[in-house]
Amino acid sequence: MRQTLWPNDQVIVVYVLPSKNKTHREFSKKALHMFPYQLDRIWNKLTYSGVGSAPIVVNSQKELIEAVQHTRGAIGYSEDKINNNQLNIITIKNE
Amino acid sequence: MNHKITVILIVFITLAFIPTSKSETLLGKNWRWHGFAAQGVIDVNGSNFVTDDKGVSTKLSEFGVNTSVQLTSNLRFAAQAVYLNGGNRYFEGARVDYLLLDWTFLNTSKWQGNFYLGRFKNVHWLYSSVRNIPFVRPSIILPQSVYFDGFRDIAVGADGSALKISYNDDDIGDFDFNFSYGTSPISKKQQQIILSEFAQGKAKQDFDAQASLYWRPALSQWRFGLSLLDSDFSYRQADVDFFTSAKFAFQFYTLNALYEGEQWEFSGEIYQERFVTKGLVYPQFLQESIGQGMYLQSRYKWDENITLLMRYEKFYSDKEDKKGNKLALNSGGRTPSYFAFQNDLTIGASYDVTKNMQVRLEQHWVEGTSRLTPVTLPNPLLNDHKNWQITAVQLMYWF
Repeated sequence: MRQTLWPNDQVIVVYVLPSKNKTHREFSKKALHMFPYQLDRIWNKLTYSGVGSAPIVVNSQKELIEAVQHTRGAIGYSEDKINNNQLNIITIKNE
Repeated sequence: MNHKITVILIVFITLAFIPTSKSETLLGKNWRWHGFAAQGVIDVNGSNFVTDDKGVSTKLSEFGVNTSVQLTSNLRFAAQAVYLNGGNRYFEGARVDYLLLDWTFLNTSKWQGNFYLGRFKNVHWLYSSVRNIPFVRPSIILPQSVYFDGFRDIAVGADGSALKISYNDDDIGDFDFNFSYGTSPISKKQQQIILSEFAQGKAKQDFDAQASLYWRPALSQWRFGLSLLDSDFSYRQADVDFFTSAKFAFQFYTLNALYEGEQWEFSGEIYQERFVTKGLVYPQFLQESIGQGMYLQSRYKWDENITLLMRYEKFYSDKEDKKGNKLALNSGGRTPSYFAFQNDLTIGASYDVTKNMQVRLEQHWVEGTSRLTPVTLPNPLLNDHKNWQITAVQLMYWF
């Protein structure tokens, strides 16, 4: 989660949904093992202390997918199935 | 719950589809602006913590704006300016909290390394990097034993260079090591906060070296940290001056722990400081004191929008004189014994009005006055109560 560059030195641009969004909460807890408020604190600390950049918050799943698709080095998440051959998709299954 | 979460990634194959000119990269998505505005009212009953007068004050203002730009893949620029008005707590006016170049010299999935040059923020104590962010720090007024407002502008950062190295391991957890070396400029106004308006000479910080190490065990809600600080200051007296030239040595060590659960949060910090003064009162004056302090804090998330706070803090400026008897005796009774310590019981609540607006309310019951300004010349006439209270409400907005 702390890595800021891809192996080719491209900056990783992270897009997320608002912290109260259900998908964001699930992703935060299940995939990152953190509560959304912890992420908010870390990102606010980065943003207002000059030591890093917070993810870009978008309002909807559709907006997030479009933003990732049109930004170099971008990453995001979705709860919906995605059919897009311009995106590299990794599926995480929660048991 | 058995949701399926899909992670989507853009990889290198997509590069060909996205036209991006160099100017767009620099001035478009890579250039970011953020800021905050916080205004409150504060009522201090029994001390001159905020004002010399009694009554409710609006001197609880914090406004800030910052920018950052990704210059190249591993070089960033970031800066933040703030305007503060906290009455006697720190001087009123604008200042630059940080202005730095951030070079990422190491970046793998396990190791990250950053080198900062310029005016960097202090990241060594548990809340030092967020003390100037109203909506991120845990309370309107932070524990004064560690986050003494009189030293705010010296402790918030320094001009020089800093290093951060992080190591992440799935088995043993995440480690962050920080080292910084620099100095903080001491303005005339800041000097008055520390030494009083009678100081006509010039104070300066000779150096400030700090190191800290943080560890979060793998998949744990706990985080542990320790920090070390070594700093020297000097004062050059003016031709006509109340004080004589002086040298100060200051060492400061902290241990801290933080637990962040889904609803409950616990944190605490214990510390010891050593303060040596040579001169100032008269040329041969020599004083060494070891102060100690701690606080324990709990926060509870009542629901999605309301968080409750409770904290107890204890501090004494000389471990050989915890009750201040020696202080009162040595001053011939002019300085009351309660200027040797400061304890604070705090309760508070915050309410998220919207996703970027919050209102906070808190109440402090304080015993003792050792963390009031000016530090070297405590004012027993204005602070003639051992027990005093702070009530504060602050509305904050950020973008």
